[in-house]
Amino acid sequence: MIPRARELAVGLAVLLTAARALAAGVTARLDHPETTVDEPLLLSIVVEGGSGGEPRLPDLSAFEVRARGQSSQVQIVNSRVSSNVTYNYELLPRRPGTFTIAPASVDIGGRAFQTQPLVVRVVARGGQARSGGDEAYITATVSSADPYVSQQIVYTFRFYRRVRVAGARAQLPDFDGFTAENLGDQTERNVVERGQTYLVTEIRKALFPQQAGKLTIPSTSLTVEVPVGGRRGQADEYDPFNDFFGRTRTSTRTLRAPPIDLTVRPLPPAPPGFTGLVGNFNLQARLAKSTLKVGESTTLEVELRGRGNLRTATEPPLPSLPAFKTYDDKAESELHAEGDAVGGRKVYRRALVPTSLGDYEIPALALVSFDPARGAYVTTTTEPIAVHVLAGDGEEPLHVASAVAPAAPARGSVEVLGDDILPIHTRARLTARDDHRGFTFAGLGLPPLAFVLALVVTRRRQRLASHRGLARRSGARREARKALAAARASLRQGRPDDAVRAADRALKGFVGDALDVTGLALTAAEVESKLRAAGVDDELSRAVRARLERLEAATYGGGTTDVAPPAVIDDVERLVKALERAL
Amino acid sequence: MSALGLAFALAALAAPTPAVDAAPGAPAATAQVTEPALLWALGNSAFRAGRFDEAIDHYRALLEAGVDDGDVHYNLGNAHLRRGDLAQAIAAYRAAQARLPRNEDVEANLRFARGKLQDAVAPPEPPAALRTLLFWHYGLSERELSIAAVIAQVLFFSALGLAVLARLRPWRWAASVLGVAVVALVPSLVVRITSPTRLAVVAAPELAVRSGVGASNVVLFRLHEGAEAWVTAGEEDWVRIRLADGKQGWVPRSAVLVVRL
Repeated sequence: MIPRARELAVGLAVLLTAARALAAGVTARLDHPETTVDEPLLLSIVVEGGSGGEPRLPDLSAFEVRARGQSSQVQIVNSRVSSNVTYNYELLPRRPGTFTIAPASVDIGGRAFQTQPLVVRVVARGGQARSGGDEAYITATVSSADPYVSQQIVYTFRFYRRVRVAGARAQLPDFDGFTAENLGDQTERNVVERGQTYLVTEIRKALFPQQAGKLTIPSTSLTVEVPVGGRRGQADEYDPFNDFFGRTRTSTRTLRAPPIDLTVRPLPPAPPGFTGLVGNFNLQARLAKSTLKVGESTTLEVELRGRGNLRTATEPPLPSLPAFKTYDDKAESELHAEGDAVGGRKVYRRALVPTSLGDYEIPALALVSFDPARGAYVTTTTEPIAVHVLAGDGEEPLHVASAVAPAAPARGSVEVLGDDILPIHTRARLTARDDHRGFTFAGLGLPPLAFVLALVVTRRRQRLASHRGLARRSGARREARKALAAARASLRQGRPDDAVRAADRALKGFVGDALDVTGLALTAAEVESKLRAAGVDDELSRAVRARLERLEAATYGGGTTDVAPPAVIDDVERLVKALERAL
Repeated sequence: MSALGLAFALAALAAPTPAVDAAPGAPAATAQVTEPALLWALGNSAFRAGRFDEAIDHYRALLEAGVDDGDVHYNLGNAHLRRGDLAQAIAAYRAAQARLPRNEDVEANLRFARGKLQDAVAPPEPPAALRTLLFWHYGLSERELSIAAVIAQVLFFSALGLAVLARLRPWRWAASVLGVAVVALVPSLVVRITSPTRLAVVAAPELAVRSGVGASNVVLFRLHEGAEAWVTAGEEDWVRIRLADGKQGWVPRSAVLVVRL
């Protein structure tokens, strides 16, 4: 029984493997069937219904192969489970041609599966080339791959897409070896290609090769956000250079256009007078007035018009005009895109002042340029212009001798032969970086401080002057000191009576000034009373009264003081100080 | 130091004013020199002898010693230009221009240096109308502005004192006029000191200006050595610049010379 069960289990396993192998399948696909050299293709090998090993790739020597990872997907539809694994490879073509990618093989459940062969066409780079899938791609082209030096060619960058994209950022190449100018603004339009409607953004530039030989315009790239798995909108619903997606899932893709090789042809040996103009040009000369008086000015206008490297054009040389003084006037330049070319006009003006009367002719002006369409140099000339010069105002017309005398040679402008820097300086203050900051801060800060201080002092003085009592109080001590000093002086001079009177005056005066009363008229008792009323303590008030009474007695009674006069003065001074503190 | 060099150094140190001039061909300094007058003389001497590297060293030592004189920046610019350092020269000339705003030599040499630029980029300058309207702000160096502001301040408060304190009526008009000068000059000086203008001069042969901080951002445009731009913001390693025509972007700080005007 057991051997039978084992056989049954093995049989079931074989059957399941066989069933899985029967449900499995391997397919290969390319993201686009046609590409250019240097533009990668994406080869995807999808293994369905099985988990075999990595695919064995066929001979891909025509490409550089880079693995681009794998992804797996499981689907459940009506209770049926299906799964697949996709292996991605980037194929970078090595050369142009049509190649057949042989089948790749994958082992699933011990059985080898093979993909179908694929055919891919690789075109040479240069000329029109495109990058990206069918949904969005870019191209970079030039109007001519073998221009002459300084011949204008048009570089055209186009961004095609038929899905909604956002955040497009184009990285145009550096046009090293060229001078480049924009040909108008960026444009957008709808085009139909291979049955699909694309919105195309186009940027064009005029390029002027600056040297002969092989030149390469490097690769152009564009980074863009494209939706992944979400709904796709119509191409005309959006602006690709703005974000718009909201909640749509996106992935960043970098689209590339390959480099463009050019072979720049040198110009043939140049004839005399050629200044580097390449293109198609026309030259005209006009004179504002063909009849004028001596000393009167007229303007000679030389207009160079055409398409090409007009920006580098220089003024056609003006032949010598001995009968005229000439003055350079302002040149005018208007350059703009004219269809596929940069064109416009340059106008050179000169003021002409005849110095003698007579009939003259401004000779034809010549301009030598190279016409790339003809492959030859072309000389364009203007018509000679006749000028009739009359006598000037106040000039006698019969003074033929002076009128026709040869004019003084015109003074030429100073010819600049070289340019250089001016010499170094030899004198310097060598001041420190912040040495003036202290001066600055002091100079800015002190004046307002001084002003405020002066304001305060002045206001105080004014207040004192307007308030007599305040002034008296402020000066009470000063006056008392003066009186005491006078008392001491009297004492030194041997006049003790005067000294005592001065001491009396000092004490009464201080009390009077401090209390804003007439101190000298007060009696000792009134002084005591007023001091008490002013908040002076009783002891000091009594002491002041006692001292005043003794002084009055000595002054008016002819008696002597209780102590020697110097001690009286000291006592008065002590009392003044005590009152000063108390008041 | 050789005997001749020592004699020269002593002569320079004994000079009554810092405005010392060196004889052509004077020997190079071989010792650490810190005296500004001597460094100045040695730098000028080295320049005249064609030893521009040495001249640059001396002028730089002067600046590092705290000397911030327009003439030093000017001579440094000349030495850099002779040596072929276009960006360094333009940066030095711009610094000199800020300190010697009306010096014709500085203008001429700056113009000469700009003539060698690869980019046809207009130098960053305030609008002409603004320069005319605020002529004191854009036409005076910081030192000149300081002196003018201090003089105006002293005169204003003196006139105010006479008008208010001494009650002298005619001084009211003087105080009003001087008050306008103070209002114009003092804020201008404060702005110059607290928010100095910064300029970036491209030091790299070619510099990609990007849309944000970091090399992974989109290259907006490219500049070449010597191109000038305002510095409008700065982070640790990157600064944001703005050209005269309004183009803006971020560049690595190491690729530009930042000049404080």
